[in-house]
Amino acid sequence: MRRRVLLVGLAIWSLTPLALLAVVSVAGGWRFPTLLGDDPGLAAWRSLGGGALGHATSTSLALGIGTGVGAAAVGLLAGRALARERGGPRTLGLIFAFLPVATPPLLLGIGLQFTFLRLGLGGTAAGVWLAHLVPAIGYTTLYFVAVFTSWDFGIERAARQLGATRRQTLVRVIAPLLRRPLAEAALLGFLVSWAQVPLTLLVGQGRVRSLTIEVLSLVQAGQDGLAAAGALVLLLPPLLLIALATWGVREAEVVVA
Amino acid sequence: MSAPVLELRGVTIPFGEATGASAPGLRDLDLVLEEGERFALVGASGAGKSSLLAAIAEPRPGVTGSIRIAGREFGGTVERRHTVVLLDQRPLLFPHLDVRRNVAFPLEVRGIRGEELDRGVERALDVVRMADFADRRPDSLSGGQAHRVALARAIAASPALLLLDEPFTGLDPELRRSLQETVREVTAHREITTLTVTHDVEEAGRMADRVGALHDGRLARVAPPAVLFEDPGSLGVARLIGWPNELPVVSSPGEVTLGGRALDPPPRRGAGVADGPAVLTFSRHGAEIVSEGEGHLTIEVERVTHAPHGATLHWTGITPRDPAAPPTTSRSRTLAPRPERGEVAVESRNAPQVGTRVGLRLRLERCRVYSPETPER
Repeated sequence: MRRRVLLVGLAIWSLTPLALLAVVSVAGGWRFPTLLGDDPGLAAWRSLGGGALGHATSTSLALGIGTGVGAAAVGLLAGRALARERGGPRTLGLIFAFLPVATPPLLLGIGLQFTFLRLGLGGTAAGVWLAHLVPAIGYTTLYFVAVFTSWDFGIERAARQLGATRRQTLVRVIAPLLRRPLAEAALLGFLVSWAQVPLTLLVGQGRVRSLTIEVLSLVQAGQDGLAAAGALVLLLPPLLLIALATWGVREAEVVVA
Repeated sequence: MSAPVLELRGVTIPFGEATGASAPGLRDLDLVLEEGERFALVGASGAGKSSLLAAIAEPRPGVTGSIRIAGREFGGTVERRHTVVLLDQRPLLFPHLDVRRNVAFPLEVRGIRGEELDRGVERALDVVRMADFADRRPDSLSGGQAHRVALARAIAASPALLLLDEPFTGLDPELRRSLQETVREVTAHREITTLTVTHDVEEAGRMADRVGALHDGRLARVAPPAVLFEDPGSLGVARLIGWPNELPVVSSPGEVTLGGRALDPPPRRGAGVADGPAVLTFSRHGAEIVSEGEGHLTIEVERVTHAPHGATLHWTGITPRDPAAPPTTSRSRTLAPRPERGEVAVESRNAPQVGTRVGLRLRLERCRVYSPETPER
C-alpha cells in the first residue's frame, strides 16, 4: 500500500507541471478567480505550424539532427578508441570527454563566443551547431566508452578470420550490432542540442532562433498559451527517449528470460 | 609432392606483447604440419600457446621467423583469409544473425550466392548435426550447440588449416568429449589440417596424431601421444603431462641407484643425462603399493582421493635417502625433485588407510631418469 502511495505521489510530482502546461496551452487567458483559464481553445496550437514558432521548430530540428548525427559519429570513434586504451591515456581521455559535460553551458558559451566571433561563426547556425557538438560529443563519447568496454572485439576478429575484409566486417558485423547504440547516441546528441539555451543564445547572438529561445522570448513577452504549446513540443523528443529506453529494458528482459 | 600446410621456422614470439616486455615467450620454434594432419600443442597456462595461434592467424608485432602457410609466406591478415581459420575458446557467433546466416558468413564474404551457398551451409550444418537449428538465433542455443555451429561455420570456410585455441574449455566432460569426437570426424572427413592448443593433455591425446610439448619457451618434444605419454623426454615435459612422482637418484654408466641401491633393471635414461645426481620420474601407473618392507622404498599414506577412473594414493616421505642425490628443494633453474611426496594409482577397494606405512614397488620399465637441469636460456 505504502509503495502505491509513493508511486502515485511520484506520478503527481512528475505530471503536474506538464498538465499545467497543457492547460495553459489551451487556455485563451487566465484571470482571477477562474481556475482553468478563460475561453479555452486551440488557438495557440494552431499558430504553432506557421510563424516564428514553426520556423524555430525547424531550426531546432535541423540543429538537433545535425548534432545527433555528428556527436554519434565522433563519439563512436572516440569511445571505441578510449575503451581500448589502458592506464593514463584512458584516464586522460575520459577526463577530456567529461569536461564539456561537467562544465556549465554558460561558461562554454562565453568561451566559444569569443572564438567563434573571430572565426566569423558568431550568429550563424553553423556556429551554434559546432557549439552544441561540444557537450554532445562529451556525452556520446562517454556513452560509447561504456558500450565498447563491454563490446566483444572477438566477434570482429572472428569475422576477419572467416575471410571478411575490413569493410565487410564493418558492414556485416559491426554496423548491425551498433545500430541500436548509434540510434541512442544520436538521440542523446539531439536532446543535448534540443534543450540547449545558453550556447544558442551566446553563440547564436539572437540571430539563430531555436525553439527554446523562441519559447523563452514568449514567456518574457507574457504570451503564456503560445509559450506553453511550444514548451510541450519541446517535450516530445524526451518522451521518445523514454519510450525507447522502456522498450530497450523490455527487450533485455526477454533476452535474459 | 605438395607443400606442407604449415611450416614454422625459427619463430620467436616476445612474451607479453601487450605489456611491451622484451623477454621472449617462445623461441626458435620449428614445426611442420602436413596436409590432413592433426597436431596438438600442450603447454602450461601462459606458455605462449594462444600467442602462437594468434601469430599464425594474423600478423603480430614483434614476431620473428618464418611462418609459411600452404607454401606461402603471408604478409597480412587479408592474404591469410580463406586459408586459416581460428576457432576460439568461445563460439563467437554473430548475435544478430541466425544459425544459417552465421554458417553462410564465410561463404558470403567470398561472394558465393544462390544454390552453391545453400549447399555449403546445409553440408556444414549436417556434419555437426545442427541442420534442425538453422533458423535459431545464437542466444537460444546451449553452449554445446553454439560450439557446434561455430565448428560448422569454420568448416564452411574450407580452410587449409584450422586452428583451435583451447576449443572446449569450460564445457562439461561429456559434451567436451562429444565435441572432440565431432572435430576429429569432421576434419578427418574433409582432410583439414588442425592445430589444437590446450593445457589438457587428455584432450591433446584425443584430438591429435602428434603432440608437441611447450616447455621453457621451446618446443621441447614432438611425438605421437602414445610415445610422448610413455616417454616425455625431459623432466619439464614429464611435469607438464602430469607425472607426479620424482625421486632423487644417482646415474652412472649402466646403473641408476636409489638410496645407494642399484635399480634392476636400470630404468631408461633420457638423452643428455650426465653421470651424477638425476631424477627418477614416473606417472601414477609407474609404481604399485606393496607391504611395508617390500618394494623399493617405504612411504606413508597421506591421503587417498577417488575419481571415476580409480583412486589415487598421495604419499609422503621416502626411505632410504641417498646423500649423493640432489636436494629436494624448490624449483629454480635446476629442476630439483619435488619434496618427498607423490601420487600412485590404486584400486579404491585396496587403498590402504591414511597414516599407514606401505612399500612402493617401482615398475621400472615405466620409470624414466632425466637430468634435473633445464636447457640453457
